[in-house]
Amino acid sequence: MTSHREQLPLLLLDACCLLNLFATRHIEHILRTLQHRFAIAVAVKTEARWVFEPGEGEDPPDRESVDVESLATAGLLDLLSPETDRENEDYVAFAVVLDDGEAMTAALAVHRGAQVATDDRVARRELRARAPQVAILSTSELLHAWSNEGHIEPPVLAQALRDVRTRARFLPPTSDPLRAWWDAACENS
Amino acid sequence: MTDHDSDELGTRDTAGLLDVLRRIDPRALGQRLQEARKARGRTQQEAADQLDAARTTIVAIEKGERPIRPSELVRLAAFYGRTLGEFVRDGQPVEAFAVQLRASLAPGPDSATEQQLAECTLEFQLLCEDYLELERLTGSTLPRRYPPQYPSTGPNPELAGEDVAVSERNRLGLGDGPLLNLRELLENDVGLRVFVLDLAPKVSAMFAYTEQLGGCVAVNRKHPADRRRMSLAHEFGHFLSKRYTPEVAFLGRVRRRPDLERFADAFARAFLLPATGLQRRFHELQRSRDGGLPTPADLCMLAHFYFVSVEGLAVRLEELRLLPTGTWDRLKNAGFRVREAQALLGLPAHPEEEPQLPLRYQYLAVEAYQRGELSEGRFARYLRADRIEARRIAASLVTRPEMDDEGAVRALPLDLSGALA
Repeated sequence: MTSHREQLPLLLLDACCLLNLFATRHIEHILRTLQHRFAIAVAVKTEARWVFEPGEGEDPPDRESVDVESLATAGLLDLLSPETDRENEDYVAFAVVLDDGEAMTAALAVHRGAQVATDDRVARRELRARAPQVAILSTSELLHAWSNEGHIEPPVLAQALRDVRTRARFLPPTSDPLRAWWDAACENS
Repeated sequence: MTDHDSDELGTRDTAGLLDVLRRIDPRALGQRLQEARKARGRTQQEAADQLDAARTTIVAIEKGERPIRPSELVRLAAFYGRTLGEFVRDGQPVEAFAVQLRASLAPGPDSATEQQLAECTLEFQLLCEDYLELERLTGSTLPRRYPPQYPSTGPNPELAGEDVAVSERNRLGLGDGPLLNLRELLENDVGLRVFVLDLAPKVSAMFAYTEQLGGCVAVNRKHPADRRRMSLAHEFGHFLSKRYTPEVAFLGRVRRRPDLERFADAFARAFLLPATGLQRRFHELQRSRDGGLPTPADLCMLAHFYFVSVEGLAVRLEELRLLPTGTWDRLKNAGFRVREAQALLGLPAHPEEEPQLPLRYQYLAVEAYQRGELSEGRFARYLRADRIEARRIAASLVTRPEMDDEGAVRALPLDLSGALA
């Protein structure tokens, strides 16, 4: 018997998106709210290690480890690795241009019919060129969907988006169609 | 999941990727695998065991005679603790110098040191290759101002080192003052690639040269800053006289130093502590002491002025006969403690930490990233940083403080990837 979660479309987070979602301090709620089965490639786990934790007053920022294990234990995030020759073949081929986590994510998405969440320009370009059937999402799209589907209060959303900037040093590019939404949402305090 | 399942999903749209794999030169790949195996201290048999294969399979793969299967490459990369990208990277392969560097050691060091050397020579080579790759991606080559090689042989290597130091100071328009920015000078005005790496404790620096890369130096990050500067100047001397001979320089390993090393040592002292400037300042000190010899405190301040160790300064003053021979030994035997003396004098410390990578290298990485030539993961790999640290470095390099008309300071973003109008 398959669970509800297993019937949802598989979405692979790359390290960039995983860090950004973790930086919101709401990753658990995000993964529970969005209608996807979330996973990361095992190589991503070693790349997404920590985010900043702002210090008190004038103190320099500290670091908070990205706790993938507890998300996996809670059944919210699967860890996947290439298993077949074809998956390994594409993993190696993507690694000519991409880093290991990005390459493994792309190869797994190709062979397991998954979508990919990445903000990386090169990863998106490679996927569009070599595997146009793979749907690509971004951090801003995930957080936009979370705010809508989760009915997130504007001040909570604003703080989450500001945390992405301060803790993960990330802002969507100005070319992102949701950048205006992001900037406006940040203003709500 | 079965291969059949994956074929249905993947074959149709990723065929182009197979061409990518076929373009990888098996010899270059085999060489990289061998280097990585040695750096990890693994035998061919241990590598073969990982693949459930015979040792001869590894031999053939490393010689480029047997193509490696993707699944084998994935397993070996993990076994050697390296990323896949290091083995299948795009771009022209660079003439490997790690092997020559290690071969330059005679007699061979102990096995622990040999293992450390294998690791750090490989990292040195990879960094130099990365530097070249960044230049290729951004279309920016490192300008070289290399002089012809100076002769280092002759009856007196010390005198030769002194002469070459004067010539180089003149060539580079340096006058006879202190060189506080030695690394930047050698990177920007000469065109050397200078890295500050964690080397084996006994190794002070390494030097290699290839036509593609030019002169490359790695200095030991674990050594004090004044020691690192002397090591860097030593390797510059080596480059000026025997650039085609790679070198791993050890601390006090050889009792009777060969002529080339004596030359490079003398060059380093004379380059950092030029005779004319040092004599002038020393005589000024003497005059302030009514003609007497300066005090240990004077030595500390003079060493600080030139950003060299007190020992290095004292030896140089003895060499120039400004101090009696054996002065440093007598000071040391009398229990003179340099750090305590410096603290008592309240001398502001020179920065001990310096970036592992040349600043130009970092800027090229940011430029390539901004242009969309590097993914974020690869950008972080080039910077030898994790993702968040790489984002922080990128942000710090592409913003600059600017004061507006109201006197408020703001951070303005810089676009490093666009050409100036």
